[in-house]
Amino acid sequence: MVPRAVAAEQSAGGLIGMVSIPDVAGLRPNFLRRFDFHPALTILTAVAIVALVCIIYLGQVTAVINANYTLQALQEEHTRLLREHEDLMLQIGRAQSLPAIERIAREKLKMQPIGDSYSYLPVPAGPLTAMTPLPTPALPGEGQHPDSQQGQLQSSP
Amino acid sequence: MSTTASMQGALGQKAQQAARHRRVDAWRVWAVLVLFTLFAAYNGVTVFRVQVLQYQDLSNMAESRIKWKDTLMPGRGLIYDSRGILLAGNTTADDVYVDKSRLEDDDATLHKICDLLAPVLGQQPGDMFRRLKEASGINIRVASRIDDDTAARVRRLKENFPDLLQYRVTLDPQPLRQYPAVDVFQGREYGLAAAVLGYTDHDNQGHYGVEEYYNDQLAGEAGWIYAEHDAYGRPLVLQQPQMQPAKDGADLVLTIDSAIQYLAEQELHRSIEEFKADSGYVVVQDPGTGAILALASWPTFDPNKFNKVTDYGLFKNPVVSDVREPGSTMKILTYASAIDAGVIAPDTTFYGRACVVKYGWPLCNATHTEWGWQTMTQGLGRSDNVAAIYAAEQLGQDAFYRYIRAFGIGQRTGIDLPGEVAGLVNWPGDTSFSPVDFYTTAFGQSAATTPIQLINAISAVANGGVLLRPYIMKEIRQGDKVIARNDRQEIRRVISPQTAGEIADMLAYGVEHGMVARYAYVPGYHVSVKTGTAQLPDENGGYKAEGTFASAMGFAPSHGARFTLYIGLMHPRTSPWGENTASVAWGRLAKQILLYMKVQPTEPLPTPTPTPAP
Repeated sequence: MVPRAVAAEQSAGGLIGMVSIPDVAGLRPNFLRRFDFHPALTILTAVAIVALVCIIYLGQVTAVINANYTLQALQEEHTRLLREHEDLMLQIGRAQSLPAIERIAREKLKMQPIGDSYSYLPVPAGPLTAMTPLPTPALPGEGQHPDSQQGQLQSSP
Repeated sequence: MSTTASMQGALGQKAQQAARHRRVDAWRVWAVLVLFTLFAAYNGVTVFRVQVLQYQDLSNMAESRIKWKDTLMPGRGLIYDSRGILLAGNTTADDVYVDKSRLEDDDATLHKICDLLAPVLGQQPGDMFRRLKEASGINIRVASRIDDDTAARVRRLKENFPDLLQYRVTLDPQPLRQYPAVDVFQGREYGLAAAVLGYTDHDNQGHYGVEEYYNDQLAGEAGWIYAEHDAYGRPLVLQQPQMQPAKDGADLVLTIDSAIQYLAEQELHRSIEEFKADSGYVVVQDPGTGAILALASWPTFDPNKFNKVTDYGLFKNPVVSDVREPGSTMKILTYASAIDAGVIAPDTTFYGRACVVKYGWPLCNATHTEWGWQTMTQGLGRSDNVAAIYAAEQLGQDAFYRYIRAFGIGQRTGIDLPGEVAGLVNWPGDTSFSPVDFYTTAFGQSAATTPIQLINAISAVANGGVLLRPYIMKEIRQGDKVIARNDRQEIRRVISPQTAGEIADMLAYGVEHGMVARYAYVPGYHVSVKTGTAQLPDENGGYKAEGTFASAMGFAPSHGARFTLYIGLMHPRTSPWGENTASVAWGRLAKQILLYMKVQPTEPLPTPTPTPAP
């Protein structure tokens, strides 16, 4: 066995003299001399590098999984909001259903069916086009009510 | 020398000893080497077997434990009426599962679970225990789509008995179809337009009504995701997941107007109670397009509680699936055919006897009245069977059946509802045909039609003579995009507009001159109505002695009709006649529909009498 320092010197001597393949091969020990770690340190360094790679890998995997859980949470929230939307649609449907409206009208508002107690306003004779349209207050964004040119239904008192 | 020799001897012995030791050491080394080599070879073989030969099987086994395909459920499309009011929507409700793993031999624990859980779910503990014991599998569903209150009670139960129930009883949210418009009649809950809508079961499958007919469009397409899962069964996305997203179902917009539908159902219920009828139906059609505006029947069901229905006949829509002799409402078609063919006119006169005999069969008026000389208009207004026979005779058998067929009688209309039947007509040439059928069919016997068939034929008279295809779906929407639409679809022209107008006037004459349809009169409007009273067939091919099918068919206003209305009442007991029952209901309902549609009155109106406040 040749100590590294001696080998390095031999290698250096070779460089000064003539260039030969063994001499070139001797460059490596000389280069490594700069990183002449203790063997244990080398092993530890290798282990540390491997550990670092593992940690980076695990970190990435963890980040992906966390992102996945975040995504799932958002999806669950989305699903929950969709369900809430559907429930609200149903509530609107129930509120708009005529049986429910009649129940409220009769029971809460004490309303009665109009029955035959209604009359039509008299319409002047002659073609409808000759009539002056009645001024009908229009709702914002609405045109004139089509019934405004025709007879109006009015409930009697 | 000797010393040297002895030294050499000693050295030789040592060398021999050393050599022996080396041999022994080498043997041990070789032995260890062989052992290690064998061990390594065994390991190598095992690794080869596991990693190469059994790789696929083992990897499949491993994957099956952590990687599986989850189904992504699509949202079912909503159903709206023509005004945009929701008729069918979605919500979620819980299914209840019991995990009976590790309880196979522990009946005592299973009994405890059933004793606690069954009363909350409205079940018998013994029944639940028996079902759990008999069921194969581990996670057993014990209740489907429980309501919110019950779900809250189950959750409280789990909190109160965590050791026993926490991991053994689970609630799994699942989609649930809901129909928001529900009312009560005769102590029974029913859904608005239930016969039109049908229902959707817990597997997202529509049954009956538009839920069945348009199930493919409403149901959407289920998706899937194939991925690894964590300990809680949640999918882990470590790579690009293999997945097919779910496609939600399309929304359906019906031609049904829920206001007219509600009015129709209210009037039907009122008539059933007032005239003490067993059942009935109401159909309202737009004669200009063929669209069905309302379709009500009683008895019916609550589609929210379809699984509580024990009489499956309730699911059937009688308007498309029941066939019945129409009675005198059929005369509208007989007169329309004869007038269109030019063989009679509204003012054609004939002598109306009480009965005529055809092929040995006496055919009489319902009241056996001899009306004497009368016009065709009067004959129709009086619902005179003999007059209808006269009109058909003038037309002739072949032409009569040609017209009847052209009106769509005895054929499916093609309406977009499931279960439609063609009806029963004895056509000339059929083995079941008898020559007398020609005469009896002219006044509504010997032929059985579906209500939809009949109203569609009368709508052809109401709209000026064109037979249209009836439909109930207005639009199918995917998001904001309309992907399908139904519109007026002409089948054929059957009669001329002039004939249609004359029939409208003849019918209105009957209403306005105190004839059989007088109770259908609507103040302020000309309406064209014909009543019908049909005997009920018995099992022997004859007619029952008791009970009738009373009906009223017509359209309003007489000219430029906005709707055709058909009301049928089964076995009314206050009077057997359509004249005193169905036509009364017709007048009341037509008045409300005209008011709702804002159709201007064309005739003078009586001064109203204010109803005093209660």
